[in-house]
Amino acid sequence: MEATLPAVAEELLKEIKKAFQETSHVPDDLLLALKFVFGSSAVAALDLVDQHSVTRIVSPRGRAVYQVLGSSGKLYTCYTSCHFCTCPAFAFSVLRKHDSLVCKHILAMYLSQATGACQELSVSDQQLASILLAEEKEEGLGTVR
Amino acid sequence: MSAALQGALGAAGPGPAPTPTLVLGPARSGRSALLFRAALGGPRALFLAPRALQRLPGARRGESDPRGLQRIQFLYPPSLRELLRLLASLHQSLPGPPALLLLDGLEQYLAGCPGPQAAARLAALLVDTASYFTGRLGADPQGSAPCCQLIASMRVSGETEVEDHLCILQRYFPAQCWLCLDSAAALGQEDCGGDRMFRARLSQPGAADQEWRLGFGLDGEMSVSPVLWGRAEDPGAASDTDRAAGAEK
Ligand SMILES: [Zn+2]
Repeated sequence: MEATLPAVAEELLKEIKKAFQETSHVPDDLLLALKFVFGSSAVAALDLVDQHSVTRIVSPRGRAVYQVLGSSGKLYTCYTSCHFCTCPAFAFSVLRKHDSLVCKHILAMYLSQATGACQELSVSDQQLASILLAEEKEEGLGTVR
Repeated sequence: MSAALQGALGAAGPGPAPTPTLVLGPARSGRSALLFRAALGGPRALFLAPRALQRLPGARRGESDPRGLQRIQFLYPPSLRELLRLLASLHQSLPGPPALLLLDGLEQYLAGCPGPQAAARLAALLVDTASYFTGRLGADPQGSAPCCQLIASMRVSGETEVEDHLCILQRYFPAQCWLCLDSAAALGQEDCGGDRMFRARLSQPGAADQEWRLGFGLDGEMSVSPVLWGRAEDPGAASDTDRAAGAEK
């Protein structure tokens, strides 16, 4: 079960992928549509893709996760199968206020897949488990505040 | 759709790709029994809960045979931290992928979540783990199941903070099965044959709602019967119509 976006967003990402495969660039009308569907996240996500900030991390047993290097230099973890990012914007704009569909890191993950701009990194099964969990430290999950 | 849950409720037939399903109900509404029944009906199940079950819930006589139980692996992470650690490392520790991932008592883990992002992470990690198992099952040509279904249960009482997390959970669990006391059955006592009757209503995007009646006998044994809607004067016709309507979607 892959993560799903609303049909209009899925369709748009498909078109971007197709256009990129044919011309190695994303035409202006699709960029405009991207901004229309994803709002201000679109430009920020495209910047992240240009900077090759998205890395897909895989373990020998096939477990995978994405890490995105944010513009602030912080590493955020995004899950592959459903929409989840460890950044504050995901907590605020996506989960709490329902303003946005996804954060810029998740959108960058989609766009990197579409344009083949994703870095690949292999780690051990143990390391992958700790990447899935390392976020605990960032948020102080389970600690008394 | 959660075929395993439907199977547990007696609605046979293959559905499309399984949707993570949340079973919600008040205390003693048979949430554990329903999950356990789904586990018994499937090929291989991983059953997670904060602590060991006191006894096998809702089991029918002759149903809790050792062969059925052998296909279920029980693990009891006692805290949110332990659960997250377990989910993140199941690809290392399990010999083979289960076809069913069950979590009983989600509310107890949510109580340890400091905010919405922590609740989202727990739900997302559950979905991600089931999705990983699905990938492994698909990679095995001799595998007995096409995918790993995820079903979690949560107690709702109408007053806890845990329920604030519900709209977040619904992002990750598009299908929900609500259990509520069957007031109609409580009035017609002579038909009950037991002390408690519940209705289970399964709602999921892109499909008509389905409903079942669950009865719990004095010995805790669970019985299930479908509730047919619509043309009450001809239940057979209603059921066929429902099936046809479901098939179109
Ligand atoms: Zn993010």
